[in-house]
Amino acid sequence: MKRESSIKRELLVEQLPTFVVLMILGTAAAYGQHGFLPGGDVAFPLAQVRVPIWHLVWMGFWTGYTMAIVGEAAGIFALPYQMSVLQFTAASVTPTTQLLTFINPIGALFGFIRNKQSNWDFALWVCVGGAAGALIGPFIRLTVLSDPGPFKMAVGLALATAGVHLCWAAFRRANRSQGIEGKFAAEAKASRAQGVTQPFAIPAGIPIETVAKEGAYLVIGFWGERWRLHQPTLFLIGFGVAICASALGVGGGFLLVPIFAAVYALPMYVLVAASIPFVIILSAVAIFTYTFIVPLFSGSTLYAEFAWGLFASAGGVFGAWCAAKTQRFVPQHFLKLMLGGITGIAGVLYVVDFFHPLPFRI
Amino acid sequence: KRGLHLLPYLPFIVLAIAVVVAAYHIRVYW
Repeated sequence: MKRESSIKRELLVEQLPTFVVLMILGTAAAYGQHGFLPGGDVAFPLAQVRVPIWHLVWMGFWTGYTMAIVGEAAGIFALPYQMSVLQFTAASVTPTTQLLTFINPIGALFGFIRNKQSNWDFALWVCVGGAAGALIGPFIRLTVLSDPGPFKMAVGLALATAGVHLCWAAFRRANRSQGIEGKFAAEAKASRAQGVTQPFAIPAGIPIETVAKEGAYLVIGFWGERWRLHQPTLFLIGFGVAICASALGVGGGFLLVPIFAAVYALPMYVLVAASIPFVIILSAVAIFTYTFIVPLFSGSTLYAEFAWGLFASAGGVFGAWCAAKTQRFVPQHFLKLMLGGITGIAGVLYVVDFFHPLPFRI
Repeated sequence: KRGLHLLPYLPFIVLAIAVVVAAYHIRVYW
């Protein structure tokens, strides 16, 4: 009962006001930038397409929800969706999506912190590495990687491999009897045997604890399981992922989460503690870089379609919060299947794009 | 309470609705 009232309070005190504020800001941005409110009848001037405002909010919601449930930001789904289905192919689509990718995971951050699915010891070095790498990435793009095609294809191959691995791990029966997955399955079975009709969920409020700090190693625990992580390696992973992601001009979550899930075998319920703060920091640095640093080299500033980005963010923040609240009901193998599917499709599109340019960007 | 048993499948339900809305948008606005 206490849990239900806590969710209701979060919804009424935090989420609903945030949604209303972002919708008002979106409307104000439309009048400030264009002098009128675009939508389904009048085209957005920079995007040059007509899209109803409810569809932008829905697009933010579904991309925010499906990505936050696997610990990522909306960008990886939102960018190709906007460029293909919504036909927003103008150059402004990049800063507009960056705005959504920065604001949307904040809903997940608040949701997971309230669930106690946060651990700043775990997140710290990944995020420090991320901030450092994200500042270096754009300069690598301007110098060494002036033709990012082959590099992007290599990243695509790695992502496709990770995607296949995650899907295979989701279907592998042996995985379902051990670790968090085994525990989830056993407790769900026991719950059904007792005649409980509600779906089983990981009990609310179980924290991701710092069990011990042993020199350079950090031991974290969740629901009776433990993981021993080498902190300098966490820094290097954050640093490397951020350099790759910012050099390619994409978010870092879709690279970081498969590494944590496939290499470290961290459950999705735990890796969100590091991946959500990481994508927020990476997006913030990307917005700073593309607003202030890149124009110094290119001589021109690219403006976002602010109203579009803010309307999408209103749905995105709420969708990501809903993901944080419902993730513990979703079995780990479903989450792996989702993540594997998303990662694999993104990887295949990168490879295909190298040989046959796609009509949209990813 | 009746819809609670659908919670584990929610990500797939949301994706399915997204496909329907995308098809509607393509039909009306393209």
